[in-house]
Amino acid sequence: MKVSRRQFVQLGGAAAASAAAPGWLAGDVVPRPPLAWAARTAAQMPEPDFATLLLNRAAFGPRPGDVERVRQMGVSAWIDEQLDFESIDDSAVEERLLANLPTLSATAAQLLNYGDNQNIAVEELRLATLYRMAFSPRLLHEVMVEFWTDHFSIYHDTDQCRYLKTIDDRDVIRKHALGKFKDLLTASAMSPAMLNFLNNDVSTKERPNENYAREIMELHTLGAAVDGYPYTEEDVKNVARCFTGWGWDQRPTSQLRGEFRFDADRHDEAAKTVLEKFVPGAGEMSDGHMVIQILTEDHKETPKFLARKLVRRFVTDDPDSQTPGLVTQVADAYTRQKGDIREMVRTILYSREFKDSFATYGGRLSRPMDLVARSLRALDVPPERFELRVNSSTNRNMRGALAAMGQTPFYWPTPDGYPDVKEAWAASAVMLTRWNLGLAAVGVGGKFGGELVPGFRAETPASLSTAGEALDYWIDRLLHREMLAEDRAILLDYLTGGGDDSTPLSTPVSGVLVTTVGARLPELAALILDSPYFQWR
Amino acid sequence: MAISRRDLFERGGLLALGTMAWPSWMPRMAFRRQDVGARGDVLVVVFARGGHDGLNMVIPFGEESTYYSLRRTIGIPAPDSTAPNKAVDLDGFFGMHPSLATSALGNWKQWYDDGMLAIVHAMHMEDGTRSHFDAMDYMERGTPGEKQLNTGWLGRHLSTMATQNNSPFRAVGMGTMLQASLRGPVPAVALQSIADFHLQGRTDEILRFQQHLQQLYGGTGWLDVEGQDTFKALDLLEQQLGSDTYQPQHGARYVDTDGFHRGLKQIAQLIKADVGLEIACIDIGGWDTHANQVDGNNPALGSQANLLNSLARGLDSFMTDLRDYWAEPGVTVVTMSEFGRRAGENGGRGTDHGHGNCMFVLGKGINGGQVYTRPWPTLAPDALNQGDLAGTTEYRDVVGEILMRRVGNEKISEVFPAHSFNFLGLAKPRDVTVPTPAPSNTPEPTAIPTAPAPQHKIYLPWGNKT
Repeated sequence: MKVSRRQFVQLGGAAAASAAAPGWLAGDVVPRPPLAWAARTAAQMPEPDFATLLLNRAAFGPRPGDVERVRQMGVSAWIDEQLDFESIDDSAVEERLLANLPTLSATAAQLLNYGDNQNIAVEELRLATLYRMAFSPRLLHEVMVEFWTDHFSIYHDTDQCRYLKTIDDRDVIRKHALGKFKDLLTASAMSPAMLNFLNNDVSTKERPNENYAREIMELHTLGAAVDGYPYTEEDVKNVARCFTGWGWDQRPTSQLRGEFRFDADRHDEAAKTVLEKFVPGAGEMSDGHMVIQILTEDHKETPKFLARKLVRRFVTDDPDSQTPGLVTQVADAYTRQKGDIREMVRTILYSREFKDSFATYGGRLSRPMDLVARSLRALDVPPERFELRVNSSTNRNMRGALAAMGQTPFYWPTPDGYPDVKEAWAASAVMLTRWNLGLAAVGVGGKFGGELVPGFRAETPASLSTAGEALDYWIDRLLHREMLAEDRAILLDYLTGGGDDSTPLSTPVSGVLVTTVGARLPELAALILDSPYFQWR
Repeated sequence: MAISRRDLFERGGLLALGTMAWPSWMPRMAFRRQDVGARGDVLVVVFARGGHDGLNMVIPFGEESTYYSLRRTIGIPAPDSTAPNKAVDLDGFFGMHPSLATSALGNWKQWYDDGMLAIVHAMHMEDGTRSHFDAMDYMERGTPGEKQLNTGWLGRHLSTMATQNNSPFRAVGMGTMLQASLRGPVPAVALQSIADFHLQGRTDEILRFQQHLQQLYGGTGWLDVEGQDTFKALDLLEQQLGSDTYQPQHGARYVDTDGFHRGLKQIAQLIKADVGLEIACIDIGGWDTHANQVDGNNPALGSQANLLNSLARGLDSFMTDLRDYWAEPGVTVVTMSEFGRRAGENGGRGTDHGHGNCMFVLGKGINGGQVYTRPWPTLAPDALNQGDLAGTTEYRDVVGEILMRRVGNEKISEVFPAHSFNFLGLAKPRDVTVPTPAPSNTPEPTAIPTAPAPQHKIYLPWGNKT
């Protein structure tokens, strides 16, 4: 991680000066609350230590060295550093991306002119997304980008979204992922991709389209209405009227093609009532902005809705019944800090509930994109070996694996975003693909990225000569935590075929390709990646 | 590495395992036919994504003055025209697109004449949206105009069937993502390829890898159970479909370069292998024919004709291949598409999003050989629905009838809540009470080896089996 020494000192200073971090962040021994999970998830596993948990949930897993770094600098310093993401130098990653994937920095007009090569922007954005997840040093920022990408989900395969999503990703999601929620929502409301995806670009005063109006309340701010609360069908209609005329420049010859454009002729200027508040009509975009203000500053459901989703992302699949107190605290942080996303996230990561989450509420199942990124990180794939070319075999195979697991980036068809609970991610074929991903990632499955991974025998330090030593090395390197003795025994049996810890790696075995115990190390690593230990985060 | 799983099994056994066999607790035959309970036809749902143009598929040539004036360049010529490619007469009023009908292409006229193919025309969904997104979403949820229920209609169907079928292949969606109609509490498998449904690794090691991985998922936790389901599926396919070479029967004419045909062929394999399949979903895309729907010189050729040929020949092959399975377990195919297209053509030899459409139902238990319309709404200007063919039969009436009469669901009002059904009578009632298992010429598997009560993470050294 490229943080200069000076920044480092400043960061440390800032952290020390901020409100006193609770004792558990520093590792104080605090009695554990009683176990609270209802459905057993990862109950019997030894829990990861705090640094490992943090990297598994507030980043896309550790690369070798990351856990040690967090342990050394302290979790609160790491959290503060990551929240102050702009101080982390990510230029190596970004420069390589921009040099290889030209659509990332294109203007909307340029993107729309890619007509003959329709999928180039789609493919490049997918590739860049995975690359950043795996390699950006702004670890927490990438997690939040993923979070808001789902929250403001846009399906790539919709009309002009295949071009315009690139702009949305850059200027809406990435720009505001750790900013103020009101700025994020405003940017999204003015994002051509969102306007196109949810049909606000065809909404006129004569025929208002309610699609965006409904989703800005149901999915982006307040949550689904039940029996007319928090909003009624009348509110949906009136919000739609407020946003009439919010569209984008579709004139083929316009210099500003693809940019946000307000069309006053389409706008309904009559006064409206929205969520029991009077919205004067005159003033062009003012009523749309007033709706955003009502939703982000006035309505008490927005902080709760956002808090619940954020707690789900970091702590537990079921925040309402498991951690209602934390949800309230995070919602309060929103209100107190005027919608500052950073403070909501800080509240979660500083909380006791987060620290104890694995043991108390169980693991959270790694989603497919997370699994790919975490595998690349755990195996320490060097970024420069990850080819940034959409037609590379690595990219094709990775895309195939993600498609088979059901999480192609930007490819969830409905506007609610990819689900974030375990049940959504475990159909039989999906489990099989997950397991094949592990085999492929270590280079024995033939597909996806095997070429990225250095030889496993060579990666195992030469000083380790027995099966037991090599096994412990790989368990620690890939999991950073203990395994149950029974599970370790299964792995040892796999490696040695009935031997024990002292079996030399050079022991011959009767295979064609695999002729020594040591030659089984790639499969051993895949077994660890494919085990529940790695699948749970 | 072109080694079939069976080879792998055998070679793995020889190479790496010596005399070692699968451990006795490993579930070998967790699914058995007689455990399935009441079962009706296997239902195959074909979704034509993009909104197919029903007016050019089943052509109301009898309404000459309106149809041909609305579709001056793209209209399919009437059966009595002198054009080289023209509609094939069905009943004197409707004709079938030649790509669907003719024996060298889709061969559907034969299915129609044999009474196995029923057509529903002026079919629609109650919500009149012309958005692909909303229309597909509503149609697959089975709740037009409503997005409250997060399950799909087939998902609800599966969860309302009181069956003991615990096969991992009870419901299968062909493709990479599960069709939204299958969403629900009963797990469904998104399956791309049966041949690829196995662990992929080095032949020396992969079997041992699988055995040890299975031990790592040997507990009772949530993910352990999910993992065990997957091993069960792997095991089942290994037993039933171990060979990679599948020979279609009765001269079925699948085109192997066509993804839709490959998907249908795999569904046929699953049906024949008797893995407990009840519902299969498969998509065929490309129907959003805004431009150049037809060839400039011959309206019966072009992009729509090619799609129709893929659709028709695929299903022709599928039903032919499954001839021995028409009665038992029984197979019914239904097609749907999110909406029809504008009655009038646009300026680019294409059609824009519309409303009323046609739908096909195929199976031995179908009262076929008819075009069901009640009544035909006509294409007269004042009969159109915002410029489109109006609808007179709601799609839920069709699939509801099939679910009840062919698949044996007695709770279709839970599948399609708030819909009052009005059946067409296109399905013959099927007695779906549990048949006594016919004596099988393959020996019954010995008692299901129930895993000795979930022994969590008990280390069973491979050489030391008791």
